[in-house]
Amino acid sequence: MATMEMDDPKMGNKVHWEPKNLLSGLTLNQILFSNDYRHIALKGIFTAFIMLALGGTFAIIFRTELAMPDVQFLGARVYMTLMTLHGMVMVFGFLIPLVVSISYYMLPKILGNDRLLWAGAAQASYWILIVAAVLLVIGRPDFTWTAYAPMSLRTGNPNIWMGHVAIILVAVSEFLAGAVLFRNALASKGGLKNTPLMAWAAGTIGLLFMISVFPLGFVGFGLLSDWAQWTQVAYFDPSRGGSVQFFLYVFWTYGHPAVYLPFVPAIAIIYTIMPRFLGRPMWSYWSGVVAFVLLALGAMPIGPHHFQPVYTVSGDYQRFVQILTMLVFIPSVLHVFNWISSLFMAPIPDSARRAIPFKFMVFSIAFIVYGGATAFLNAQIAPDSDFIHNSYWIPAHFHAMFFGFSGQMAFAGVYFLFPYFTGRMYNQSMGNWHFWLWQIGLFIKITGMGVAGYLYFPRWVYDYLDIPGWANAQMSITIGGYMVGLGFLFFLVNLFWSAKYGKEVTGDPWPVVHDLKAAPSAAPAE
Amino acid sequence: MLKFFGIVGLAGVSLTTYLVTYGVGPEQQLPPEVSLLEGFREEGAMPESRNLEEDERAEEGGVFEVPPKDEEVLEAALEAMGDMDMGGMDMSAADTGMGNMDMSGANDTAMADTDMSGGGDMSGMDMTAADTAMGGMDMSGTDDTAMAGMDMSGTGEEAVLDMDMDGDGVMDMSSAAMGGMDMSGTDGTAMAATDGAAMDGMAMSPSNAAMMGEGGLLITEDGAFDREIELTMQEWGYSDMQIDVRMGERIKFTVKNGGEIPHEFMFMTMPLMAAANYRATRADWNLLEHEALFERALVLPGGDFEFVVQVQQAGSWMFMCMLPYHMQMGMMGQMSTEGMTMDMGMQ
Repeated sequence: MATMEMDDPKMGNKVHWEPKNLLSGLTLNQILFSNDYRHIALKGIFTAFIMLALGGTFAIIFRTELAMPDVQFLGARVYMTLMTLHGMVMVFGFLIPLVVSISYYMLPKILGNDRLLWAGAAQASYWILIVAAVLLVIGRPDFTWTAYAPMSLRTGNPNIWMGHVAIILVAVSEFLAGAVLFRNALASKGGLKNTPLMAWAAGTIGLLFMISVFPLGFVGFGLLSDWAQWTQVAYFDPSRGGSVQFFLYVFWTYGHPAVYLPFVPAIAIIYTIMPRFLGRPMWSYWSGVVAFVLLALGAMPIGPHHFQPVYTVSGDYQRFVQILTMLVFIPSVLHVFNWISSLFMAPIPDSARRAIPFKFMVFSIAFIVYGGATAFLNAQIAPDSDFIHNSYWIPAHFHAMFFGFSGQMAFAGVYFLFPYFTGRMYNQSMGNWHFWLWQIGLFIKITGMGVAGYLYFPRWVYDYLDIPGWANAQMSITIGGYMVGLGFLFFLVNLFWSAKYGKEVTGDPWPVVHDLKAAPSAAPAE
Repeated sequence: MLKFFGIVGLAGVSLTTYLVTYGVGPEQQLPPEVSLLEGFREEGAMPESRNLEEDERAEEGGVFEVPPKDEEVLEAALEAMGDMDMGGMDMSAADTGMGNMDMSGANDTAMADTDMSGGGDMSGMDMTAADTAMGGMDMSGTDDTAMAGMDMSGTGEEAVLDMDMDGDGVMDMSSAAMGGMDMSGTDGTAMAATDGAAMDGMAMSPSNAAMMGEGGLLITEDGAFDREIELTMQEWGYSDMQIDVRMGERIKFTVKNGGEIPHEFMFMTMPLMAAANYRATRADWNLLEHEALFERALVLPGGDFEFVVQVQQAGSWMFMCMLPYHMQMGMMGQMSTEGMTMDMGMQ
């Protein structure tokens, strides 16, 4: 078992994996404009960390305000601005770019091409996203990340058009990223039966990216047009003949696939690093393939479940959407059982047990189960329209999915890649601090949100009454948020310190050692 | 590379944090700039004003198409309530007395033109008649008249109005009342005094001018009462879901929120509930709560309040919490006089 086939695509591995210091000795021009896939990917990863720091800072600020009832230092407008930017920066700036960048890094290695096809498009995608982020920061929209019309046309901010333009740019950037992923998946030489699962993921999600961003682009354009009054009859502004329902349908036709855009590449990272750590193939190759295809197929038609209580169309259509939503559980559960089976079908090697990326992976699987269990309740029309909609239960669900699963899985990928791009190993104890702070912090935070939702705490409020339970739930969310922030600081220190002073790695940084006590010399670097 | 991103990140995070907190500017709530719309207004594509209530075309129905049935249902409900109040009754100059009170109703008058002048004894007077109206009743000169125990039950029920008209002739209209008396003034009945000598004691200060409550209930902050009812609101229901009352009864309600989340309390008439229900089926969330006979919004857990209700008419009323979905969870009850209990399908 210790010797594994590095070329076996089902193991998620190929040659071209070699620890090397890629970070130093670069000119500014190379850092910014190099078309080497590793440079593009690392640029994307580090930019995503900046975005995480931004979104996290926003969150820490309004979390501090929300920890106690009454207004301490934040007014409604600043709160809404922070909340909007927190959502947009985290989803469009941190989560999606991070998993896409990790895919850029891993795909060429796994497929054996050692180059990213259409790297120019990836470069363009990156810079368009940067422009969008700058516009967001300057324009400071305060209409929440869903940009519901007519609210997003009527806020007190004269610069919200920048938010609308940023939405269009995000759509363009994601289209290009999707095209790059799709093109590189097509470059797989494995055929249908031997294409690595990461390439299946990149192919299906690349396609979904390219199709689903059109509604998003249209939303951005429609909002801009309505705001600037380019046409007599508006698209979305009801006071000029537009339709708010039309907005909902268009936006969520993108909005639900948007949830999968970080989700599916994160799943692909599991399929890549899990066999690597376990030293054996995944339990099932085909269930993974089928699940990727089903997820991509199910993503777009089920968008309306995001506004279940407000669509006033026939009950039959509601039930149709609910059934489709529940059907999407099937591919998700296929994935999860595939991972669990892979973990349990043989003993887990000692080397994997102590590896930080492996730990992050296992706990992100726990969080996807947590988020999935809440999703089952959300999918039901009755509890959703009566209790769940717009309560804190919803943030509990999507923080478990977005951060607990996708975000943590992206960090597992970064820890996994760390020796490959620095040539050094991260510091184990700082990694452990990061790991435990995040698991405990995220659990407290997400569960606190669930409890607040159970107590009917509404979303998007900057102040609240001192109602029994509310303040406690909010305080626990804030404490969890601080722990997550502290964990990220540990990660940053680890990143900077270990890139310079970490133990040098030569050869395979992740050897599979089943019994470390029997063979201490085979222990991986630390 | 790390150094570059470290510097860019640190600078970016600090700058952005400044921009989105202190840099956001003062709180403001502004409508879209009016000037943006001018061109379209000139072309006639826009209403004259952003505020649709000020816009003539909005009222004509050109901008907002309010479904005609909405209006009909609401009007019908309000009309049904209007029958119970004293619409149009002029009570000005009431302090001069209420002599020659013309309370003519439109319907069959049982006691029309009854002459009660001359100190006649009205105790034990039986005014039982279907749809009693005291049209044209001349009550001038009743200074020494004892009206206690007058049976004025209008619906044929055994309900005795406890009209507090003590022997000294002072008719205490603030707590007592002439409830149940159909004083519908379809023609805008005027109670202006023409004969200043009559009914001196009936002081009608502005505070008790509304002696007839809306919708058959006279609801006051406090006052004399016959019976006390303690209601506890909780998730999901009221401690008493069916309250039986007699006509003319004065009940002091003490409502307490014994639950863990805020609740509301309001009384509504059945016609109004029908209108609200019709709106709910259209997913219109204006449930007419501000048309309620009584409304106490947002009672925090542990909070309580009191009020006194006098039942002035036979009928049934609903009380409920109109916070979203609380009613659907069962927070609605009924108060009704005998024989008027409606099946709400709650069993």
